[in-house]
Amino acid sequence: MRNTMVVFRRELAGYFGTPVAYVFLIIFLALSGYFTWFVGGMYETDQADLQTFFTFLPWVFLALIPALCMRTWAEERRQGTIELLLTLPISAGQAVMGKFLAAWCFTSVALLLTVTEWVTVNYLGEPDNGVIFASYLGALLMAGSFIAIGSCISSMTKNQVIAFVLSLAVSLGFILIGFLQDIPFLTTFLPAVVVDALRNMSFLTHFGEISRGVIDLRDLVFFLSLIAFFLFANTAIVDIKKAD
Amino acid sequence: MTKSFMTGFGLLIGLVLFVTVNIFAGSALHKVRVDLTEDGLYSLSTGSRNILANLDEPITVRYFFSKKVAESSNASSLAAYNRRVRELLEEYAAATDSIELIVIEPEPFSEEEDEAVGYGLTGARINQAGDRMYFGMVATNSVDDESVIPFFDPSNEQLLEYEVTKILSDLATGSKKIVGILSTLPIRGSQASPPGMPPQQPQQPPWAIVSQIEQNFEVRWIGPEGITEIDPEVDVLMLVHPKDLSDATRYAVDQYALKGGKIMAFVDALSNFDPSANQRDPMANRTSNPHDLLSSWGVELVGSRMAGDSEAAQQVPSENGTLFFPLFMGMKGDNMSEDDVATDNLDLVNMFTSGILTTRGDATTTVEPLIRTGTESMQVDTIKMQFQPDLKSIADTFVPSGERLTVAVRITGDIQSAFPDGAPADPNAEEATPDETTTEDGEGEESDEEEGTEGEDEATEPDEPEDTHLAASEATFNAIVVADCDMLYNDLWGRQQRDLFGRVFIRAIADNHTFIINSLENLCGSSDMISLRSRGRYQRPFEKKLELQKEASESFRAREEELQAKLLKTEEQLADLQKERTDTGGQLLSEEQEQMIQRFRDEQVQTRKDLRQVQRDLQQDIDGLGRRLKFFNIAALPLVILLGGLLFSTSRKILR
Repeated sequence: MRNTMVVFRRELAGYFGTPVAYVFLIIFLALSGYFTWFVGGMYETDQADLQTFFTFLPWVFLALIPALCMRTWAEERRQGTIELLLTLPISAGQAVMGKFLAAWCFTSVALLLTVTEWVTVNYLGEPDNGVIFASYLGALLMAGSFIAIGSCISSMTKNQVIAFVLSLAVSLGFILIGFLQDIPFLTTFLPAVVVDALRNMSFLTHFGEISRGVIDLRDLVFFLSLIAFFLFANTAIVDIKKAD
Repeated sequence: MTKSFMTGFGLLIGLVLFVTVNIFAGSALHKVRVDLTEDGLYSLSTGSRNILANLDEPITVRYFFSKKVAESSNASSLAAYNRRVRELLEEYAAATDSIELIVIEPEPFSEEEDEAVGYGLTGARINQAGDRMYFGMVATNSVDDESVIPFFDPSNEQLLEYEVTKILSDLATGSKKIVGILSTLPIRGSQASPPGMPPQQPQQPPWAIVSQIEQNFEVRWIGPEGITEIDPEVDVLMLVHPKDLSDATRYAVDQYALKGGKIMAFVDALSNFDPSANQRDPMANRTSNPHDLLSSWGVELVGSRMAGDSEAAQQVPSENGTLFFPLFMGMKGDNMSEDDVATDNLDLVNMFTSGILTTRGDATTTVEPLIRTGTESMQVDTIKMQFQPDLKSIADTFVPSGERLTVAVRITGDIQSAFPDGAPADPNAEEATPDETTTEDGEGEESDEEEGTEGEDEATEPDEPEDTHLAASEATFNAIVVADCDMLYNDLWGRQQRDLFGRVFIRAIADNHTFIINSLENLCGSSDMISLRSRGRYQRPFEKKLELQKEASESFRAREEELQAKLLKTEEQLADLQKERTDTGGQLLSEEQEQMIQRFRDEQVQTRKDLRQVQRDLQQDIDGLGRRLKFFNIAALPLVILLGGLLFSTSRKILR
C-alpha cells in the first residue's frame, strides 16, 4: 500500500510540476464550457439541469484523457526509466495502481473545477441537485474507465502517438458500441441477445442511466469491472515487458 | 509454457470474466439501486407501498411491449419509457405477493398480438413496414374484472404511478365507490309532484353532471333536510350550495368530516340556480353559508364578493353583439395547479360568478390552491349581479388588482369540530310536552303504566351518550372546496346534442366534468391514493430568466401605456384641429395648424422609436446575464489557472 502511495505522489507531482496539468485543466474547462453554453445552448434551453453539460462530457473525456494517459507508461519506457522503477521493491501491480490513482485523482480535480456550472444552474433556477450529484459520480466512474484503458494501452508501446491513437480508438469503441443497434444490417444478422449485450457494454448507456439520478448496482459493476480488467491487463503487460 | 502465453491466456480469462460478470449483473442485480432524485422519481412512493401492503386480492398484470418493433424503428424515447414502466411494474410485483407480472412481447402477426388486440390495446404504427407496436397493460383480478391502459404515453409520465396504483386498488376493492350528494340546488331534476296534486313547475331533468357521476360511482341522495348523521358507507360527500342548512345537517357533515370522511363542497357567492332566485324575490340571498364548517376546515368564503378575471373572460351576448365578461371565467392551464392530480391535464374549466376563498389565519389544515385567477383580477360586489345586472358596466368598470384570487382549494389535515359544545339541541324535542292526559279514575293507573312515547323521548334525550360526539379529527380530513356551483350546470361545460338515434347526449366544450370526476375519484381513495399527487417536477425552468422577463414585460407595459397615452393625446389634438378646420369651412390650413400636424407626425415617429428602444433595452438585460454566465463558465477558471500557472513557473524561475 505504501509503495502505491509513493508512486501516486510521484506521478501527481509530475503532473503539476510541468505545464501538463495547467494546459489540461484550462483546455478541459474551456472546452466543456464552450460545448455546454455555445454548442449545447444551455442558456436557451430554459431547463435548470446540467443535462447539456453531461451530454458533452464523455466526448470531452474522449478527446483529452487518452492524451493525458499516453505518457503514463510510454514515456517511461522510452526514457528507460521504467527499468529503474521496476528495480525498486515495488510490484508491477502497485506501480500500475499508483499511476492509475494519480491520473484519476487529477481528473477528479478537473471535474471539481466545473463547479462553476453547478453554481450557475442553481443561480438560474432550482435544479434537482440529487440528479446532479449522481451525474458527477457517474462522470467520475466513466473518467476512471477512460484512464484505465489509456494507461493499459500506453503500457503496450513506447510510442506516445500510437498510445494516444489506440486509446482513442478503443475508448471510442466503448462509446459507439451502444449505437450498434441503430445499424439495421447488424440487428438482422446478429441475435437480439448479442445486440442487447453489446449495448450494455457502452459507456453512454450506463452513464446515461446514472445521470437520470439512479445509482444502479449494474452500472457500478460495469464501470468497476472494466477498470479492474484493464488494470489487470496493464499489470500483466508491465510484467511481461519487465522481462524484456 | 512461456510467460507471454500465460499472460495472453490470463488476459483472455480476464476478458471472459469481465463480460460474464456484466451479463450476470444485468439479469440478477437489477433490483439493487439508490434513487438520488429529489422527488424520488424512480421509486415506488409510500402511498403505493401502503396500498400494496393491504392488497389481498390476487391480481395479474400483463405488460405488453413490442420490443423488436420498437428496436427496428427510431422510437428511442419509447424504448427508454419502456424501461421505466417495466421497472416500475417489477417493483409493484416485488412489493407484494398478490401481484403477478407477465411480460409479453407482441410481435407482428403473432398470437401475442392477437391477445393484445383482444384486450383493447392500441397498436401504433411506427416503422415503415407498417408494423404495429404495442405498449400497454391489462390488469385482471380473481373475478375477471379487467382494467386496461391501452398505451403508455411518455408525456403522461407524471401520472404513471398514480394510474397504475389506482387500477390495482380499484380491482382489489371491486364495488363502485359511493358518492353522497347533499344539494340545495335542483341538480336531481324536479321531483314529480305527489299524486293527485297539480304539477308545481315544469318537469326538469337532472343535470347532466349527475349521469357522469353515476357512470363512475354509486350515487346516494342525502337530505338536505331531516338528517342527523351521514352514513359512514358514503365514500365522498358532495355538498352542493350548502345554504341555510339546519344545525342538525351541518352537525352531521361536521362529524362525518371528523371521522375522516371526504368532502367535495361546491359553495358560491352567487348561485344562479338557487331556487329562491326568481322574479318575485330578486334580492333573496343566493350565497352559500356554511361558514362554521368552512372555518373549521381552515377556509373562508369572502363575503359578498365575486371573482372576476379580465384575462380569462369569456364572451357573453350583449346589446351590441358580444362582450368579454370578467365574471364568466374560462380557467386554463396557467390558472390550475400542475402538481395536483385533480387539475393536472385539464385544458379549460368554466366558472360563473364564482366566490373567493381565503385561508384562515388560524387554519389547522394545509390549504393548497387548485384553481386561481390570473393577476388581472378584481373582486366584484355580488349586488351588481343580484338584480337586473348591467354586464357592460361591470366589464367597463373592471380594475385589475394585480393579485391572484383563489377559487378552488384542496384541504388536508386535522380539524376541530365546528360544534365544540356537542350535538345541537334537537328542536323537535322542545315541542314535545309531558303527556298530561286526564284520565278517568278507573283508567288512571293504566295510563300511568302506558308508555307515553313523547315522554319517553324526552326522558331519554339527556341520556344520549356524549361520547359519540367527536371534538377533533379521528382521521385525516381531505376535502376539495370549489367556490362556484354554476360550474356544475350543463351549459357551462357542454352542449346538448342528439345522436343518430335521436338520443340526447352532452358534447363537452370544457373540462368541468373531468375536474369534478377526477376530484371525486381522487377523494374516494384512501389518504394514500390522495398522497400520490403528480410526482416530481419535470419542469424546472430558469427562474432568474423568468423574473427578468416578467420585470421586462411589466416595465415595458408601463412605458408602453405612457407612450400610447401620449400618442392618443396628440391624436386628439389633431382631431380637434381638423374639426376646427371643417367648422370654419376653410380649405387652407393656417400656419399654426400646419405646424401642429408636423409636430404630431414627429411625435408619432419618436414615440414608436422609443417603444422599440424599450423593448431592446429589456432584452439586453437577459442577454447580458447570458453573456456574463458564459464568461464565468468558460473563461473565468481557465484564466485563474493560467495566471496561477504563470505565476508559479515564473516564481520557480526566479528562485533558481
